[in-house]
Amino acid sequence: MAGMSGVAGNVAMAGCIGGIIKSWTANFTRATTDITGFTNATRNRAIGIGDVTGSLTGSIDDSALLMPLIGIASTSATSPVSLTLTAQGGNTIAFLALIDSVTLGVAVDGEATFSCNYAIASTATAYTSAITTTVWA
Amino acid sequence: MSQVILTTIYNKLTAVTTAGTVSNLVGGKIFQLEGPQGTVMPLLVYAISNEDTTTFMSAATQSMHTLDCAFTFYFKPDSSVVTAMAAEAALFLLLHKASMTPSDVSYSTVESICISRGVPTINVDSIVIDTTYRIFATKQS
Repeated sequence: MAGMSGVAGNVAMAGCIGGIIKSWTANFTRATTDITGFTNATRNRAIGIGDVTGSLTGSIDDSALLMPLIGIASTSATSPVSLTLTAQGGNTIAFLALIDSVTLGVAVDGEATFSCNYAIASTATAYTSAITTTVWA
Repeated sequence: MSQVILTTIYNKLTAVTTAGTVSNLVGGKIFQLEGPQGTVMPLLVYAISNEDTTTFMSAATQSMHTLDCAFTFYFKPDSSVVTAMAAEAALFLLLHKASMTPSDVSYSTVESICISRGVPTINVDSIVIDTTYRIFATKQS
């Protein structure tokens, strides 16, 4: 057991991205509904289904085709890509996701960067098959 | 890594020494950080004034380095300011939007742009022009 830095982090997006990432985030959320009864002593809530959204940032690499880089390869233009987020070797989260926005930034006095936002897009019938993890399971 | 960049810049500055070039206009007196005691002007001193390293996650084999490099020209006070400005103009011609051959094979690219051309000023016993260039270097691991 040990704390970790992001030095050994990575992002793999099947057929699309890898190796030029500076940061990633993953935000796990689920809606809740207040179902507190009139005589309850505390709040009672029902949980909704899970959701995952997040972002990736990095630099544009001249050896990678731009559209695959941002997850819009011709084979995945309308379907989710397999996204694997690595915090460090062995600590990963993987799920199908759609890239829903991309920002490219090129400045004459700085790096050429990109950032994109993604959202889970899974047809799995169980949470454990929709989102797979290693070590963190 | 700054040593590689400094050497790369030096090689660029001294590659051509014909009339009207930077090297020619300062008599070949180009120094890193500071000139030797008693050096007779004109001369050019340059140094890294700021450095920023961008590292990528584990699968990446490269890092990017962004540096600001300050160049300072010194000319005798009885020199024509036009002469000093000609040297600065020659530097601009040489390094603005320029690509350089890295002095070490671990670097794949070194590029530069001018971010401040500066103005001539009188500094006690010399005419001085400070000018700054931003250097972009990609290092392969």
